[in-house]
Amino acid sequence: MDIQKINWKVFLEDPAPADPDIFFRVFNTWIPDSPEIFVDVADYRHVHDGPLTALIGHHTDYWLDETDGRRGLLYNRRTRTEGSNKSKLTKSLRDILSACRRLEADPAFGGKLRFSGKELLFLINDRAIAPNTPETYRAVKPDLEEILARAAGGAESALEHLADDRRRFSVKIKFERPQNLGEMISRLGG
Amino acid sequence: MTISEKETSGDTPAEIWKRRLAGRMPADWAEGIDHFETEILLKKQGKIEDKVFAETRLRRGAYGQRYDNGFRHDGASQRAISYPAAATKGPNTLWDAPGMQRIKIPFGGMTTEQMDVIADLSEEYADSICHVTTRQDFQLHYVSIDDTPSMFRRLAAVGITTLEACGNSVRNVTACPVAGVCRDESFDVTPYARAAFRYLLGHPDVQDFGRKFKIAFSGCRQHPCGLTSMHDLGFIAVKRTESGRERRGFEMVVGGGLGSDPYKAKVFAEFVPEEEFLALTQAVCRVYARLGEKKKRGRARIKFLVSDLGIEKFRELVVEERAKLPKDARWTDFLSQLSETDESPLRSPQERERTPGEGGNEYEYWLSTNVAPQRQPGYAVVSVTLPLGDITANQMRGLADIARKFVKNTVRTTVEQNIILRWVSQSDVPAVYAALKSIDLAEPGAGTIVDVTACPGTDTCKLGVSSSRGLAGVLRTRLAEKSMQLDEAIRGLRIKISGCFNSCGQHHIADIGFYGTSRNVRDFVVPHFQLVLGGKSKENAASYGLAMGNIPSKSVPATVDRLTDLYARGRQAGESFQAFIARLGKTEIKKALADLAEVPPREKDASYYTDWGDVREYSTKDKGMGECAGEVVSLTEFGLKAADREVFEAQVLLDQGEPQKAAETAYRAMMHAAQALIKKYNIDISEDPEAVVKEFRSRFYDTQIFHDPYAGPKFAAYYFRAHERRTGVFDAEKSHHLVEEAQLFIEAAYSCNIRMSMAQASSNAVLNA
Repeated sequence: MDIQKINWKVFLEDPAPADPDIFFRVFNTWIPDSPEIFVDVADYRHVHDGPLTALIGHHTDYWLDETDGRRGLLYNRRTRTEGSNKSKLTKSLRDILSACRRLEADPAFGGKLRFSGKELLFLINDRAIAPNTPETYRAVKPDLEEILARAAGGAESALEHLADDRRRFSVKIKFERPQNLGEMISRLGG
Repeated sequence: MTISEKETSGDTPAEIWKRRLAGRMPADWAEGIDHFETEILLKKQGKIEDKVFAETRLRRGAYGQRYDNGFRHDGASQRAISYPAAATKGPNTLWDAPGMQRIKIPFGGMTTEQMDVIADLSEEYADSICHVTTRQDFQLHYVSIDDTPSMFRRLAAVGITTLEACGNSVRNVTACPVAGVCRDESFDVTPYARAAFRYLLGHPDVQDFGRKFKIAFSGCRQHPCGLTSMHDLGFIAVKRTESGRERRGFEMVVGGGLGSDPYKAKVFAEFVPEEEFLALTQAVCRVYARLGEKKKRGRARIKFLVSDLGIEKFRELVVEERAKLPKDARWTDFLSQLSETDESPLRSPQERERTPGEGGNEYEYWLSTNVAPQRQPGYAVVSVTLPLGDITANQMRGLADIARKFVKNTVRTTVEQNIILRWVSQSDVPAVYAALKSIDLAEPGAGTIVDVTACPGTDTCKLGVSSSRGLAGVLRTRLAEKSMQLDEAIRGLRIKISGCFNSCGQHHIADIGFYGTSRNVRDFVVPHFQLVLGGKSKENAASYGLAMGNIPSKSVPATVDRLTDLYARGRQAGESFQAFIARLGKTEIKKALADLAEVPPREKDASYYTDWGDVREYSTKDKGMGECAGEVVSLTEFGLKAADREVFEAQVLLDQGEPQKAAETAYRAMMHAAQALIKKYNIDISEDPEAVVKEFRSRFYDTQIFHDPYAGPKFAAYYFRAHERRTGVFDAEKSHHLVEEAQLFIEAAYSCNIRMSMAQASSNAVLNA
């Protein structure tokens, strides 16, 4: 299958410093200062179980996200990407990890923002090409495992297919030992 | 080659959905979506004109958003957004820009299956947020136009069309959300609303309107659920006994509307029998299509036609038209299917046994604001409060599950931007509360002052001037904190906010309404809101409020506090907010709020120069302006402020029952605003009205300098018309409209001044660089 509309979510070590208000201000600075095409920042602090602050991009969104009650940074690829599945997975994972590092380094968070290297969530945001079925999981798993092994420097990770047919195709990933985000980016060629 | 031929061998998401959903939607809907998909392809190939495609996509509910022209102001300057494709999908709307998709929900009625699909679509094509509008629609934001055919197919497969969700057509047919379970209704209007929707969708007689056309149904006269008075065409359920037989019918009203120039609908007929209402609706549509304005958008709604002709003449024309119509079986066929929309309960009716202190204060408060007994004993209506009309995809699915468990698969959206569950067995109310709480949807305060209504405003709307959602969010938070302690009379007030004068937030019918404006203060543009008081949503939007003056955005929360405090302390026994405002008078209220209208210098408080829900400075400082120019601007500002004062005086005169004087004063205010602008070029402009209008026309109208970027010459036309009619006789209604138009003309003069100042600053900056 041709994987499109890749989503990754990196969770926070501690949700407390991830103040949506600060994210709102920081994301606004990304619009003029990034090579990517960002369009707007949407404020959804008033809702639950979804985005809190969304940086909307032409190709890719970054959200401070609290779906299922867990706060983290979500990468949402909107447009079609070319290349092999492995190259798309590599680039998208590298991009979200780099975004995490950029946020951690932003002075607005006072050095308190820390993303977790223990686990990830992977989604394909397209029910047409990737229904949330065991077949999709079988199709995606080999490439996903290979990229994760590369990112983790050979360390093992446990993959769990979240098989709820009303939800989008999702895989929960747990690393056997916590990973350093910077090292993961390097291993992915960043 | 059509798209379908090209893609039959492929497996793009669009093709997969097309294959998967084939045969699961009405054939004409499927064909229409195929055509639209082809039109997208042709547009990409440059084979369809911009304007034509724009109307095509708008008729499918696909709108442009704020940044779709390829620019975004970042607080320092206007910056280009490098969308990959330079081609456009309509005037000023770039092809690649993410847009808004409106989804029509006739009478607000939805099934749980439809809820699941909308949740899925919001995840895959938007930002996981489903937004309920003030007309019972849903809107999804940041949608790529390439995704729209798949979206339309997925919606069509569950019985939803977006056709005519926008454009110059019949928009969503709305209806009272408690129709069928309301204790006060004459009868259930649901099947009639559905019949109107079905009959008019794509009907040839509604394809040639100059503007949109909105229809609403109400089951009673007294409640604010249907808001028929503010609709192009409204139907209020009425029963009549004739020859010992009870007949169903409607009081039919026509020519209402809010927008920048609000009109109350006029009674067309006190009783239109049920078998006649579709025929008469068709006749109204034909007269509107034939005689309604087509070129001047600002005068194209049916309210202007009805007003210009007078209701008697309009009625005569419609009756003539009706007589000519060939009989259509569909006018009455639906009468044999009235019971199809009946809902039945899932659970048996049981009165709830209450124990003291049950569920705690929070539950009790929710119970008092969000639960109401149905007409059917043992059942309740539960309102699910959606903050700012928003619900996330997961919450939507969760709510669908709750509906499946407790109420047999159906819910309704409301014009208050909430969702209601009907047929909840009273004994299940605590369990429903617990279930809603588990998905964070048990917020109390439905229908109270906390339940602030707002249009999208500057967040996503191209026309927004100030941040209506940002302000609504702040007000909600502040009011929710103290809602349980609020006086009962205060709690019952309604706040509605629009981002501009167009009134999508329905500010005219709120107890306390606001619409977005801006003001030039010490060389900065500062976000403001115009305060509108005296509106009434009850009795189907019984009266419209009038503007009271501009308040800086950041002072609006304090303004709400002060107004509610004044009411709590000063009201007489049983006195409504409208009566209190009328008794106090505009002059006293203005005096009480005078300090809040002031904007502190930026050095003292920079927050005033940034809007709610934003981090960018609202506008740039007019750097490089010469002293001479500055002086002339000061004269202009001075003149505009004088015009502001005069229009306020006109409002007071109107309140005092002096419509003629009010009209004269309003006209004078317009003339002085025009004069103020002319002073940019000619400080010696005379006081002669003819000379002012002539010079305004040549300097600002003919040059299009005064033209609003979106409304065009509309506001200048108000002035010209007022000038022509200045010696006429004005009754209360005509005077009311003139005062409204004067207010808008002055707002437009302020905006024109700001645009000119900014253009001057840019030009000076270039010269000084």
